[in-house]
Amino acid sequence: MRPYIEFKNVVKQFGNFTALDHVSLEIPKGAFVTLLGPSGCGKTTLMRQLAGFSEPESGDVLVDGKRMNGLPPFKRNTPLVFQEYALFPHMTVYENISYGLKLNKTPKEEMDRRVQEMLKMFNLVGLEKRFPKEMSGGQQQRVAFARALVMGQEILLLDEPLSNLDAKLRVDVRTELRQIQQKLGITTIYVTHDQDEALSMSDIIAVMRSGHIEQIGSPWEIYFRPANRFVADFVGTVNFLTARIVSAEGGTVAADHNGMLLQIPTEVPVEPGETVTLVVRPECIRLAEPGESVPEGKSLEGQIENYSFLGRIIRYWVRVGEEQFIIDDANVDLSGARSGAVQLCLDTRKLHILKDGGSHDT
Amino acid sequence: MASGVALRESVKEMKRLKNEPLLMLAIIAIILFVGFFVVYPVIRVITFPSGQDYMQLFQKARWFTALKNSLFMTLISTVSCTAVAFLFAYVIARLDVPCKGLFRFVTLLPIVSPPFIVALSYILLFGVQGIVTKQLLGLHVDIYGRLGLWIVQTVTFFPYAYSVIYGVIRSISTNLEYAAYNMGAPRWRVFKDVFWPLCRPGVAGGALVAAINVLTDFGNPQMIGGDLALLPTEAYMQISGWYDMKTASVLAVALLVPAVVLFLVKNFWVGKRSYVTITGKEISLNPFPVPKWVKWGLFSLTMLISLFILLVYGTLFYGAFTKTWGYDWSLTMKNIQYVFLKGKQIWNSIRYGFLASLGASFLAMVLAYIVQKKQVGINRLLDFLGILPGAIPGMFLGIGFVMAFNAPPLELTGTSVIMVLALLFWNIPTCYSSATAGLQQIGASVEDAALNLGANSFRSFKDVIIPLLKAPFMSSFVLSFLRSVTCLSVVIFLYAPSTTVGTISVMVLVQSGQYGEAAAFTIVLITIAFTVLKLAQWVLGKQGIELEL
Amino acid sequence: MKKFLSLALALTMALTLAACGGKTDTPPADTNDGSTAGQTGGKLVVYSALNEDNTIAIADQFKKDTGIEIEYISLGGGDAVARVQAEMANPKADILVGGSVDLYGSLATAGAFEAYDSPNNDSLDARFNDPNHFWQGWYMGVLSIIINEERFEKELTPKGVKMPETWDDLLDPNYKDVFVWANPTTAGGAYIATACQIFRLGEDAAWDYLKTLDQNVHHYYKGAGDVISPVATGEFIASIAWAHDSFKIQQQGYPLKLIIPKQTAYEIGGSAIIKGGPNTENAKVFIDWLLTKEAQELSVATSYRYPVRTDVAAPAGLPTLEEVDLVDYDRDQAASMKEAVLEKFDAEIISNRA
Repeated sequence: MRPYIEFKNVVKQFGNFTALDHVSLEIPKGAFVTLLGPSGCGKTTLMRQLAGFSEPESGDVLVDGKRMNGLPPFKRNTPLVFQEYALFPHMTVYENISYGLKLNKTPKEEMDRRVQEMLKMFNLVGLEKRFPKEMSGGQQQRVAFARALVMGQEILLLDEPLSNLDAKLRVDVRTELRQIQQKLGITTIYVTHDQDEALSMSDIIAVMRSGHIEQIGSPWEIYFRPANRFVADFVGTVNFLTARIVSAEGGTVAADHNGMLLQIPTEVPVEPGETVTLVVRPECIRLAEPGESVPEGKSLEGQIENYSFLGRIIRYWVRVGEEQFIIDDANVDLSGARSGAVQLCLDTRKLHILKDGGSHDT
Repeated sequence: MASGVALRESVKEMKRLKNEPLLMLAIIAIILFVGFFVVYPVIRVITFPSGQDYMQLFQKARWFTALKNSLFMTLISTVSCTAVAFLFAYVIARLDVPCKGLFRFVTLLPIVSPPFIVALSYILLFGVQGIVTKQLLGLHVDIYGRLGLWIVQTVTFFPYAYSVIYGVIRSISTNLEYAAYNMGAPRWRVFKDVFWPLCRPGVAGGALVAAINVLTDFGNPQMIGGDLALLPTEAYMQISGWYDMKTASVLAVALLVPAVVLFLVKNFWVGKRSYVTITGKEISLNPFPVPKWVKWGLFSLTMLISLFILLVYGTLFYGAFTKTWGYDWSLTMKNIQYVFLKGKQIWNSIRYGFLASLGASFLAMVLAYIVQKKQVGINRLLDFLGILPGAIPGMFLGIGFVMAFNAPPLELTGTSVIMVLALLFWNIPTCYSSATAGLQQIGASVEDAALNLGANSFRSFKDVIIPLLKAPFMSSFVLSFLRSVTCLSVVIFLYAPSTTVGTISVMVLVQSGQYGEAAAFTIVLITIAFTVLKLAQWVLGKQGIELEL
Repeated sequence: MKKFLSLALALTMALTLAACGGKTDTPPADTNDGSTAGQTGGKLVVYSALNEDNTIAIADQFKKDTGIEIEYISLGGGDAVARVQAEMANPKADILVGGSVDLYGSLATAGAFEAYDSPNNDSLDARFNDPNHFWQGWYMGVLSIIINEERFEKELTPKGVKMPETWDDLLDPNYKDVFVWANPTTAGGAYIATACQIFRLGEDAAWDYLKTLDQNVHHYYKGAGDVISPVATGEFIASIAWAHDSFKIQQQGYPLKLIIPKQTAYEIGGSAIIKGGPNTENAKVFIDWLLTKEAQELSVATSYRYPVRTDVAAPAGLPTLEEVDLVDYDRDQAASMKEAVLEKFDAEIISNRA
């Protein structure tokens, strides 16, 4: 099937700074795609190429097969929810939401009907006459969503819309937003630097860094099968282990890490003798119960150096030889945290092998 | 390389403009307008004299002296203007003292009063026979010359530096100072290490504004400069004494060069070094209290200067109602009655001021919008056009207008149109900087949002930008109006019998020794200026907007 | 979009209309029936180097007598001439009035004036009529020494200084720094006073005189009239100025004393028709009117200038012209040597001060 939105080799420069370096991305119709990356990686710039706020030096931006380059923003039908909402401070909620319809010369009754629909959808009924400064941050944000969706267009662009909300509200809105998106079936591009938002809402995540896309994939792929150290490190907490492949047979490899042999099931093609980096998420390691016997090939010996109690888990920092491991232990005991020497048990199914020391950061 | 990129960028942006013919039209119109009414007159003046005429500047000792004198006076007056301006700004913005309203009023008076006339008060009070100097203090002071001119120019032009410095001081968060105290810095270290470095770009900017004004002033030197030869007065006398436009042009160009240098320094050197933008955001904590002796010391100094200024203007006010200026102090209304006989000229002042300010504010707003919001490749040129008239001394602009519009293709001399246009373009930079500051306060994304929702540039300008720029628009309108009503230098070569304005009358009355009538005229002009200011503040105040000049 | 356009358009139109308003509210000039008999109506644009109230008085009376409305600007003689010259390609005014006819010479040579020989000038002394008829003399002024009487009596009389009677009395060192003067290079009146010394003393002695006088001068003002008010208000004690201008300030109530010294110089005040002005026929009416007995009397009464008509009395309070001892002032020579004299004055006197 033809992708609905397509970036082809897009290059964008600001003076000598290359913000986008031959970026290509295909987005299927109805998908929720997140552009994830640290600030300055080009994610907002990429989105702005689609909205038409800036023009690429080269490369094409296509929607439904039509080339968008050169079209001014107001002819692109790509409603955008801004990070700071960008509500018109001199217009009421009603005027803000209906502004696009007014430009469109939508008849009054039709306009009323659609604004009311939005007010209902976003729990804003009764606030029509308020001005933005008379509302809470959460309410303002819902107005911004309503204003973007009222036109019923095919695309929705979201530029870190949740970053100005407090932590708890942010989690609630995530779910709500995803539900509305799925209900409307609207193709959505979401820009964020927050991995939790990306993982929890997206169909597809594109991780960006320095004007490049490092990896495109489902949240599961991004999390458990990161393409390189950068992606692994940026999305979640991670332990990197350097290991040497001892043997590789039938989908399982034996890797030597500081004299400890780990048996890892994998599809990554490796050769014996190769040095690789193992990606180990903190929750893929657990502390063995005292006296528990951990099978060979899954265990490491260590010393607890520090811990942090987070309620649902305890995060331990455990010294293993030269290295320090971060371990999230979900088995929280009422009596407190553990200390001293421990045996670690690795869930080797969830380990991921990065070839070339994981250094293929383009 | 960089220019190649910029060029490519511009070409691409121009292509994009095909989608917005009105925007393109507006850009072209602005370039043509400013080009025709600012650049063209300037070129006419510069090219009027021959190379040989220019050589006179170096051959004739007097003009070289005039150049040196002008630069020297500008230097010392700028230093003193800046010091007084900083004092006022600091006291008003940072100290918890009474009488701030009075101090503010005092900083407005010199801005709203026409040039020329105030010098009369100085002579009366502080001259050889001055009421204060001779009769009260028994001193023999000679104010004609450098010393007197220095004092008068300091008082006349410090308010221009004040408004810049005050804006900067007000926007420096007191939190920064508290942070320094918190780390154990004593008061003077906080001032020296934190406060002063943050103020410095603002102080430099204010100083340069004052410098440009001092450099191009010719009212005060005429009255009080004695034998001191200065460029603006010499240029004026070349025209009125010798009917020599060529030489006048040479001197005007000699004046233009340092003015342009000051202007470039202000806009490109200081501009880049500014840490704080003037956003008008309220500061969060009350300023950290300074020691009592410092506070009341500064207060007394400010009060002293304020009283001095009030005395000068009070004398002018009183003089407007006395029979014989400086001699017979018995009261009379005849001077005021005389002013009302010439209501036509007052009406002209108001009318031209209103139209020029309206036009300037509107044009500047469109210009600022295009420059700020549209990444059009030529926005650097447009930006330059917006601030360019600020580098041109008023008298120079006037001479340029006479030369450029005295004959077809556009023959405007003697009409009201030329008065309005000259004042309009003279006011563009003031309005432009105000509109630019206003636009910077509107988050960039607000306008993006309008475009994103389907509004083209003109719709978003009309629906979003104009309503949000109401306050800066009004403040630039009012400021331009005050400047126009009290302006002499621009119109002095442009007025005709039916287009005479109030400031011209003041000058003519002073020249023919009718000081009482001149004072009365001045009082009426100041009253009009303040009425308009208060009216605008009241109207905006009802909408919850604070108007600061 | 349309709304915006119409808004902009309306604004521009309002602006233009209002700006042009000044022109439309005066009735259009109907100068076509231009008989010089008066009662033509219409208007006349005047650049006046007279005092403003004097100009207003003339305009009011002229309107009463002829029905012609005067639009005027009051400005210094130099500014007026500069304007006429600047506008030569495209004259805006009809009449230049006031200021010494010395000023008119260069403009006449440049072709800025329309020649007109008024029927009313036949009985006047020949020196008031330009042989080429480009300008018409219509008043006379003489130079005087002006003194602030109060200060003089308080400060100089005790030193044994007597009221000055001659030009040479001004060289008394007691006048040092209480005497001011105007700069001849910028003030026409001061040049006439300078030339007066040359005609009185001869070239070399005159320069000695001027340089000695310079020792007393506190500073030089730009305009000839600028010196009067400072002396009137007592800033300074003595100066040289036109008797009529000084007399006028004296009438405001200042303790100003006028002394017309022996061998003083005089000016002939002029008026001229600007060539190609919009209302030339009315301008001729104006010149004729200026020479009438009534107009001359008005001028004497409001400006204290000496009339050119022998049947009009000199201003009350000033000596009659017969009583005044005039230097033998050669106008042609004064004009021809002007540039050289002023250059010398600038180089040897003014430049030492700037």
